[in-house]
Amino acid sequence: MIRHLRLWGALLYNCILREMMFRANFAIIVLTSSWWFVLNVLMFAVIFSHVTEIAGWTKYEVFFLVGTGNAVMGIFETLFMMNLMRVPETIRTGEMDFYLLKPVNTQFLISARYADFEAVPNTLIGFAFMAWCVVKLKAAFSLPALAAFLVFVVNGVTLYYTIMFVSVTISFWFMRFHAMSIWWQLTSLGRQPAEIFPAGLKFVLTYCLPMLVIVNFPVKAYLNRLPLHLALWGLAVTVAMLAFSQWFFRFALRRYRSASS
Amino acid sequence: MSPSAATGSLKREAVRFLRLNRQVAAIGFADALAYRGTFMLEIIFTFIPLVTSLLLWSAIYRAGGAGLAIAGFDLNQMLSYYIVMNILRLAAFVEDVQWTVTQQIKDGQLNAYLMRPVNYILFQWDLRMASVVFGTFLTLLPAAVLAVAARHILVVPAAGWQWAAFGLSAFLGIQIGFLLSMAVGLSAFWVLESSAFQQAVFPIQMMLSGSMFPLELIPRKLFIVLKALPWTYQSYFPMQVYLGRLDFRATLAGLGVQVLWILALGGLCWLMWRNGVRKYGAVGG
Repeated sequence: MIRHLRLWGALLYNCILREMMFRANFAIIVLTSSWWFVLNVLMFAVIFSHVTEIAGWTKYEVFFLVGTGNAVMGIFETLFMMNLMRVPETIRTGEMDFYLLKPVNTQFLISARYADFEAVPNTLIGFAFMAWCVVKLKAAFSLPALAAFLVFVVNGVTLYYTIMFVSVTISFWFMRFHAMSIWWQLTSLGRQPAEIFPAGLKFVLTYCLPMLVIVNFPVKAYLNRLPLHLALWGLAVTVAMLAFSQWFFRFALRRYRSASS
Repeated sequence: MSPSAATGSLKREAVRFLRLNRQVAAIGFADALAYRGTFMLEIIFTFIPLVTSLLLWSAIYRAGGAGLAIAGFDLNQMLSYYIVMNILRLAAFVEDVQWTVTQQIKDGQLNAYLMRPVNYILFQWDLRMASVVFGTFLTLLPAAVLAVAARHILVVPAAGWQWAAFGLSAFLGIQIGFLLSMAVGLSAFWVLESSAFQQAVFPIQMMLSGSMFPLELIPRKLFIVLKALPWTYQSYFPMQVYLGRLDFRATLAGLGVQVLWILALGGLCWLMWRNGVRKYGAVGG
């Protein structure tokens, strides 16, 4: 475990060095990567000039949710996205051999090899925006609430990662299946206030396809609106998915036959 | 050269161009056909954000109480805006042309085209239009399913001329979208950090064309500025026609503006191409 964390540190450092080789490109992306976020906030700002709440969420609560969504997705993009997008190609070309030969957990290595620092500024903007929302919310600031929030942010990133990882693992069977682009569309569900969904769909998105756990739960935990049983469920499903992703990956590896050469 | 010889050669040129046109369009079709499975999957999954938008807006209007109008839209008009806009974008997504063009300029693939006796912009246009025709065809079924499912909320044009004007404006809008995207792509002749540049402008393109939300939602002063830009005429204007928010004269005037934008942007692309190729270093190759 410690060994893996130390290795992760070394990999991240390695990626920063690579990134700094293309400084100008990096600078532009830093400046512009938050455009989608800005537009999203702008849209909600306009909506809230006409209404005072959406499905029980006030303006700054929705903003808080949007900021959290940005931060969670930003962390995921930084640490995992580029790696997961490479997995189908890695399998197709037989490059997976190199990962299998290394003396570390293979799932860890293919998931954490490359970090994408272009999403870091966007993530930080998400957090800064949340801080501003918290001030505007005028809710009493409390350390336990903050701790619960952070726990569920980490939980959300982990759960999102496992769902994505399981999806790309499917490319051991279907090499042309671009699971990432499809799942990307699904994330739009998770970033909305949970209460806009009809009860049935909300149930599905909480228990069957737990997209709501990813972004909604941290916000609800902070606002003290997350019942204990849901909180426990949110943590349990992540642990279960993590274990499942490891098992499923090992199972899928049996199908891998190292292409070409 | 005698006048008759000149006409003769012009005629030969035209015939050659048309024949070529058909060939290139065939390639475009084959390309689109090869990925039909992906395309169908994409269609199914692009409906997820749409459904999310519809639910979100329903919740917003519920919160505002009955009879709420946001920027002059009642609930059904707002939902129809999103439904029809989605179908429109699905059938005719032309923005990928900018990525193709940029990439070909950057990695020197353009060399292959410079050797050929074809006009590069027209060649790309052919490919795109083939995929638009194909995309429209594939979108018919999901669009019909959607229209039936949403029959109680879907607003449709009242008059026949509005349907015709909508079809025409959508077609002209696709041309504007193509030319705008082509211009963004051709900027790679000058912009060094072109991939970053593309990433930066794409969300702005989406917003300005009204693909993200109806432009009336933004503050009035900004809205007036945006209306003077060509992006508005890509898909926002056709949507205005569809929802019946424009009378006959305003519709005609808008169609006229669309044609003017096509001419202006066509000229711009041509100029960019002519100057760009001179500057082009043919890297890689």
